[in-house]
Amino acid sequence: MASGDGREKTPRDVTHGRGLRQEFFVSLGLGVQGSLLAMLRGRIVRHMDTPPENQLPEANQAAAAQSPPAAPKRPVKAVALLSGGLDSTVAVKMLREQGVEVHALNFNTGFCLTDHARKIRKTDDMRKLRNEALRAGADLDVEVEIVDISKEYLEVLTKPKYGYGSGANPCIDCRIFMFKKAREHMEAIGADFVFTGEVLGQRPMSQMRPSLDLIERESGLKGKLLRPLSAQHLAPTEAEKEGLVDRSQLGAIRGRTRTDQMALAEKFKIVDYPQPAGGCCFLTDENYAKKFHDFMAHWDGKRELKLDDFLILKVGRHFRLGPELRCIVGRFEGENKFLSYFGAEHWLLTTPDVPGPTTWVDGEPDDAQLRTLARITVRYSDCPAEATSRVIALCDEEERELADIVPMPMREVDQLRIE
Amino acid sequence: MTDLSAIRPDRTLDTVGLLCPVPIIKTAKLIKEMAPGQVVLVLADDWGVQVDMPAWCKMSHNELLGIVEEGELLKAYVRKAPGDGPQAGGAGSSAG
Repeated sequence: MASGDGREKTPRDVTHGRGLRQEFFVSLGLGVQGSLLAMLRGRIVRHMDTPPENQLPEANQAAAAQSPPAAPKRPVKAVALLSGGLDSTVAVKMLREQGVEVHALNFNTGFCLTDHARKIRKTDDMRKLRNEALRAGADLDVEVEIVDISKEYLEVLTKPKYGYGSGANPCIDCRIFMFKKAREHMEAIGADFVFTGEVLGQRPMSQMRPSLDLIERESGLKGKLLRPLSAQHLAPTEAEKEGLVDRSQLGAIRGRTRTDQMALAEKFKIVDYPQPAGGCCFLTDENYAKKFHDFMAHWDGKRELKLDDFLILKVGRHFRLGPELRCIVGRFEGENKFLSYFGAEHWLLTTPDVPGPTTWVDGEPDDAQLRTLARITVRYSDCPAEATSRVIALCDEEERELADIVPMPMREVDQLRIE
Repeated sequence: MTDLSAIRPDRTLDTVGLLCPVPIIKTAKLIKEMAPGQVVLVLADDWGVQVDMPAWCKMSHNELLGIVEEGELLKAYVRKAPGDGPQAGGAGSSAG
C-alpha cells in the first residue's frame, strides 16, 4: 500500500506512468486517428485494465485475497457529492442499492453553465431550466443540500496551488476544496465516508490516477473517499475493507465513454438524466478563459478581488481600451439585465432611441473615452451604420447624454476586442 | 386546485435579483426555522424556480401549493411538511 507520503514506485507504476501520459494525450483527443495509434491505445488500455492480482500493490493483493467481509450490523451513512449528472446519479443509486444512507451535497460556485443559462435566457424547454442536482434528488428520493461556496471559492480561483487546466479551471484545487467541505460534513453528521461519481481516466486534469490520489490525500480523506464507479480499479477504501460496502458490487469503469454508466442507468431504471457532455463549468470554456486571463493580466495586484469580477466575465462581448479601461457589451436582453446587476459604481451605457445593448464599463473614462465607449455601444445597436444615435451614460447618480454618436466601424471594434 | 390568492403566508422571502440556485438555498434555510404547516411565499425572478421549486419540494417532502407568474415576478407558495419535516442534512446552507 502506498505510504501516506506518496506512492511507492513499482515496475508497474513506472510503466503505468508512461501509459498515463499517453492516456492523457489520448483523452485530449491528440493523435487519436490512425490505426497505429488506435492499436497503441488498445495496448495501453489493455495494459491499464485492472491488472491481475499478482500485479497489484502488495496491500491490494492482501485485500483482494481476503474473504468478502461480513455485512455491517449497523446503518452505514455516507456523504455523496451529487451534481445530478449521469455519473454521480448512478453512483448514488449504486450505494443506495447496498443500503447505504446517502446524504448528498451539491456545491454552488457560481460558475455552473446551466445555472447561468437559466438566468440569462428564458426558454420553454423546462429541461434546460432545471437544476440537475435537485432533479436527481427528487428522482432518487435523496435529499440534496445545496451549499453556496461562491464567496470562499475566490481564493481557489485566483490562487490555485496546482494551477489551471486548459482554460481558467483550477480543477484539482477545486476538488480538494469541495472534498474538504464534504469531509467536514461527513464528520459533522457522523458519516462513514464520502463518495463521488468520478471515473478514472475520464477528465484529463482531475481524474487521472495521480490526481485522484492527490485530491484524496490533500482533502484529508485518505482511505475515506470512495469512487464507486471505478472502485475496482482503485485501492480499496476503508469502507470496503470493513465491509460497509460490498466491493464486488462496485464498478470497474474507466475512460471517457459513458456506455457503462448508461447501462447501469438502465439497470437501475434511471431514465431522466442530462445528456453527458464535456464540461459543465464556465472555467473550462475557452472563451471565458481568454477574458479571465486578460483580467488577471491587467489586475494591479492591489485592488481587492471580488467574485463579481469573475462572474461578469460570463456574459457579453469584451473590449479593452487601455490597461485600466474595458467594457462589456450585452448581446441580448438577458445579458443586458445581468450586466445591470453589476452597475453600482460603474458606467452603464444604453441607446434610448433605438434597440440596443447595455454596455458595462470598468474604469474611469475621460470624455473622449466615454464617447469611444458610446460608439461601441451604438455599433451594436439597431442604429444604421450611416446614421447617429444618442447614448445615455449612467453611473450611480450621475447621468450624461451623449448626442450624435457615430457607430464605430467593425474594423476598429475588432482591434479592441479581447480574444 | 388551491386558490393561491386566498393564502396568507406566514413568511415572505424575497429572492428577486439573486442568481440561481440561491433562491432554493434561502428557501431551504428559512423553512428550517418555520413550524410544520406554515406557509412561505418566495418571490423570485429566476425562471428556473418554476422547475427547481417543485423538485426541491418533492425531494424535501414539503408541499408546493403553487407558483404564480406576475410579469417577470414569480410567486411560489410552499407549506412546510408536518411532523419532523425533512431528514437531517436536507436543508440548504450557505457556507460563505
